Amino acid sequence: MEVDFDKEIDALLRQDGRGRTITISEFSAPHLDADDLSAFAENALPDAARKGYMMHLADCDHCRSTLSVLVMLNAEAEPVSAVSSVGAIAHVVEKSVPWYKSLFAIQNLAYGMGALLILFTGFIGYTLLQGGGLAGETAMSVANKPQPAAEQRQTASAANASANIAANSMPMAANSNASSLAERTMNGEGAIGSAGNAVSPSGSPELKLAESFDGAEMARSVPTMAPPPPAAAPAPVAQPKDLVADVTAEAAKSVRDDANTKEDLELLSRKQAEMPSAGNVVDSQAGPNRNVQRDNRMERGRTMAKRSAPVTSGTRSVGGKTFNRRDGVWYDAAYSGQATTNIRRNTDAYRNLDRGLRAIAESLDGVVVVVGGSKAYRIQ
Amino acid sequence: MSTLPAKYEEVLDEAVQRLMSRAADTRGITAEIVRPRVARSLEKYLLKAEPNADRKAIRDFVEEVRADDLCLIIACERGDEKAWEDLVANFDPAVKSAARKMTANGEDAEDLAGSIWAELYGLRQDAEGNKKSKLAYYSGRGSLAGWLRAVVSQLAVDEFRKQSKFVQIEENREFENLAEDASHDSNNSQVLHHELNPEELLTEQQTAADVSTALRTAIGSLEDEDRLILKMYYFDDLKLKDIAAAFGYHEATASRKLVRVQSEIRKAVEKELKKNHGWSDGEVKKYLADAASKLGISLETMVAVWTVIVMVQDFWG
Repeated sequence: MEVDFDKEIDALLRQDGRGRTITISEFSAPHLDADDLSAFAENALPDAARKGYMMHLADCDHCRSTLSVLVMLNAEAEPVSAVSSVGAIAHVVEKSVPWYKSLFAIQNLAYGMGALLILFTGFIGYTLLQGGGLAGETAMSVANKPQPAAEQRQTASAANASANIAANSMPMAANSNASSLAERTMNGEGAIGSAGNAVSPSGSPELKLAESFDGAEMARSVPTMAPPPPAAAPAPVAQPKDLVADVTAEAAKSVRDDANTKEDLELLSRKQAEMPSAGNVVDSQAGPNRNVQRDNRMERGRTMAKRSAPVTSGTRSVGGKTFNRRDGVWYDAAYSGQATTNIRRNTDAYRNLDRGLRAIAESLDGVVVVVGGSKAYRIQ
Repeated sequence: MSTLPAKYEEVLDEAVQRLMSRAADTRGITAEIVRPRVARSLEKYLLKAEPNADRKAIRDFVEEVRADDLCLIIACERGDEKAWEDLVANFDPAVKSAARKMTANGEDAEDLAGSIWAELYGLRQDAEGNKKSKLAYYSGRGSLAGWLRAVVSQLAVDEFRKQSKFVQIEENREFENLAEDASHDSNNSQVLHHELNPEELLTEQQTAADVSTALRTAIGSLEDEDRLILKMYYFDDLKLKDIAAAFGYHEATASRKLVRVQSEIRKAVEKELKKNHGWSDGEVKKYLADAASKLGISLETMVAVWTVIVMVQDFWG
């Protein structure tokens, strides 16, 4: 600390000090002994005695140089306590050094920190690269990888090519039966993943797709709608018909996304044959079949369009809720993969929805998955 | 034999009793054994400067004596082997550490430490065959570790003085100073060609002599503490932080003192040069500015070279 030093006088004194050599002291008074010097250096002398020694030290080069050496040694040694130092030196003295100061006691800290920084930067870069590479791979390998339900929804659109082939060769019954399976897939029920990516934590997606297929699941997948009667009036039939059509379309989409081998389809067909009612309900109605076919074609078209269009992502806040867009679907941030009720816009079911939910659906385009109360709705 | 005034006997007895009660391990040393040592230090450090010190001052003085260290040293003096073992075990690291800092290599450090222990043990004998040991000079005022470091310092400085080739009287250093300054100056014409320009050389010598005298006078006119601080800083290259610790105040206080000292030096030097040597204001300012610029250049070069060396050593080390 050299605050406001007179640089010219400082330079003059340094030159004078540098030019001095060891001298034979002309001071005639007896020199100070080790006890005098140590007591002086530790400020352990009475004031009067201290002044006397100071006068001697100011003029005696010998004693002053010895004192200076001692001061330097004391500064580099352990601090001296006021009480006896025997016990303190005999035992380990623990300094209360703050944790942040102990960090700076590390030698070559700068080099160590620099190396850590480089390693950390490399790790971050590697992680980012890995994340980018994974995003490109999902289109090809999504069906083979066990994924959590939430992540699988994001990768559903990547398997459109093989899914289209599978959908075209699938019978309508398979579509209807598979719709419930797809619904369960999308809802993440049991061991099945989402949006056509029917996977289980332990097995291949194809096997699980077959194994978990259950007719009872179909009813559960349509929680708000009763099974349509065979001779229902057109209006009431339209609702279950639309609902089934929706489910079927989703199933087709999800199957297309998920099933990329003929074996998958064969398994699915066998399971569908075991189903008593679900497929019959649809099969017995020509109208729904044609609608389903039309929806399928439209869905294929949409899928083709989506394939050619870049996947856009975004976040919007509507009605106090936050929606994230993934693969063309707006997902409510509160949605955690639970079962959804499919509802089409401009249907009675849609009109029966809460006004707030309808406002949200109208604010967002395309498919919207929104959580209202304790239920989740898939509005499209 | 103690020459302590009778009026202090009673208070000294009480103080020594309290001193012994503070010791964690008296090592069999009694108050009667310790009393003469305490009385001697009392006379040396208190009563010599304050012959009429009061009882409280005496009690306070004895209160600050380090009881355990004193008992250990006295026990060693009396030949207590256990005390010697404890002394060496506890303080040999401090002695060796100080010796390492004072010597160039480990071997010399070991030699120095060995010499110190020999001195302390009293391997030297006086004319009557009695052991001469420095232990008798420890009063307990300072710490035992500090006292041992002081012993190391004394031995090291004495040894260095013996080996130094530059021991000489200060008054005859003008030519040597001039030669040293010229060796740091690239313009060596003053030394190499002094035979060609004796007038300039004489002027230069006279100027340096005037400044040296003025500086010495200015330093001599300072207060003892200021003079000591100045010499410790400029002549012994101590850091302000260490000087402040030795004097018992903060580094900032030491810095302010030094700034004040520099101001006093300037005034005294300028006054001396103008009054006793006939210099003008311009000559004084020019000389001081030249001195600062010379040192500034050389310091900058030294700092730059030192920085590069340190960085290279850190990189390759």
